[in-house]
Amino acid sequence: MTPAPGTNPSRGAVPARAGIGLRAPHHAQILEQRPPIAWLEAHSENYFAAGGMQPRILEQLREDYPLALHGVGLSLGSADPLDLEHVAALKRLIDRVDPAIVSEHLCWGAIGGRHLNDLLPMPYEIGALRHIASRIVEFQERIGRQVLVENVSSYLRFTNETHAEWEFLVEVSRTSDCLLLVDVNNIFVNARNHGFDPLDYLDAIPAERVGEIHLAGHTVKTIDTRELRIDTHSTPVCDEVWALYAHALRRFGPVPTLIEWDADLPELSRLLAEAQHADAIAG
Amino acid sequence: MRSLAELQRDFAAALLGADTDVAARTALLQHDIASGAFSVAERLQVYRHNVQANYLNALQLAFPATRRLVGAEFFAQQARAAQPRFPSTRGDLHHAGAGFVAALHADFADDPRLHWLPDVAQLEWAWQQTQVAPDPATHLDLGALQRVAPEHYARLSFIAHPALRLLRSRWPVFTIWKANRGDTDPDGTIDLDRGGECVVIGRRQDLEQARLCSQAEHRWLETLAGGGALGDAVDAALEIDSGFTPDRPLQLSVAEGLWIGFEVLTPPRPAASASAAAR
Repeated sequence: MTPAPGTNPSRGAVPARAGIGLRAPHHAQILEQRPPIAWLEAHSENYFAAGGMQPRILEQLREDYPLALHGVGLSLGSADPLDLEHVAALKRLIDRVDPAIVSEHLCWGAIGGRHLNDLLPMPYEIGALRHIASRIVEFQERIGRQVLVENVSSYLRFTNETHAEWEFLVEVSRTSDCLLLVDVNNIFVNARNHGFDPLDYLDAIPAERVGEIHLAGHTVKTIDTRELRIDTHSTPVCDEVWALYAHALRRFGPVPTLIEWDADLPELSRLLAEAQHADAIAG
Repeated sequence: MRSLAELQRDFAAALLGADTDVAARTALLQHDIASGAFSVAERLQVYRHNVQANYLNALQLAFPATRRLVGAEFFAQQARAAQPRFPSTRGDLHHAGAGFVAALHADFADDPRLHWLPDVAQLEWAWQQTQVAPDPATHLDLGALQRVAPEHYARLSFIAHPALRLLRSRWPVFTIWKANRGDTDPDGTIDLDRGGECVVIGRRQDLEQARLCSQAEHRWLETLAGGGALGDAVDAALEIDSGFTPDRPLQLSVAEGLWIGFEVLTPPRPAASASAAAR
């Protein structure tokens, strides 16, 4: 099994197969039954506690499963200084569970010390590009490893933009030397919301920069007859996204892939069935 | 063109502001956001909804009994009212409960219908904090404690487990909380005039436990947790209950793992004598 680029080969590298997002309602079942799962991805902030059961559960699961840590709250794109307390908590967790992959989002979520705790869109223009790229460089230096950065879903675009989203993403990756976590569902959602061809997006991403793929479900919000796709992680992966995933694999080759499901979380077996479906497409 | 910081400040204000301010704050972004099939206000509302839902979800997980007591709808209203005044200050939303408790204290401490609610939420938050408190760096050396000579007992001082939380309320908060923690409907009603309650919450081997304690024991524990000597803690407890004896509370607190270390404080030095001062 070949470790994906950017992963830590020293221990439990994440295989180029489909894993699932680790969610608290499934902790007990996974701990007891240790079902065959290719790998697990945990939301970093859910295990930031300096003690107690939560980080210990992750430590125990780490014994049997390759692990990735996926941050949702660092706010890499914020104009605030990098939150060093947050980085320190993440570093402590990294030291404790030695994940094969550490990832964050290409977004912002806090300003003036007030946190919105959401993945908010960046304006795709050169100033914002330089800013977030320099922050990723600082972040990578502080935690001492290369990170993966994920494209996010969005429901608006700014009027000052000079770059297509994919141009911005790829340029940030080149400038900061981070790898990419390509969320195929987010690409599809944005393609529908902002009117571009998702294949243009996928085809612009250099294969050597892709370290992981995310797959998830979304919902369609209808106002009058207008439709907006919302990235809810509350439904199965849709057919169009499966088709894009197949295209992505043809472009990128085998890549560790993750099934994300957060709201209306189903039984563990349902997630594992989605992962099997992804593996079947990967062949 | 505005700076990234200015854009983000206005954006955040539109998402976090009170409902009454939304239109004015949205207008500030009218030229920064493309509209198309959806208006700027409609687009911002998607994010505003997400930001409120994420905050509410975190509070629902941390305050199940409080939510149950007041109902899901009222709880959500309080979360929406609290968020603009006490926004999250961390990327880790698990800390948002402290602001929510502060909002409930501000809004309901003087409300005769719900004045007990802030204290119940505070207890529930303390329980939550006990679960995520740091693991202790040391463990109480029982053998060494047993070897302390009785004449030194009064100068014993303990180091509290980081998970230890103590609460005192003028309401029966523990009884209310306990009755509303489970999935089944609580039996009967709780008389709010039955008197206040003191609660001690600790964690031993990853298991949290909460129990009632007397006011005297609460004062005793509070003094010890603050680093005070056992003799001083007993004196403080005796002010509340002249019959207080520390034997059983001490055994219990040790068994519950409330302490992770101890020391015998050195006695205060006698005042310098006139002759010593003269030398």
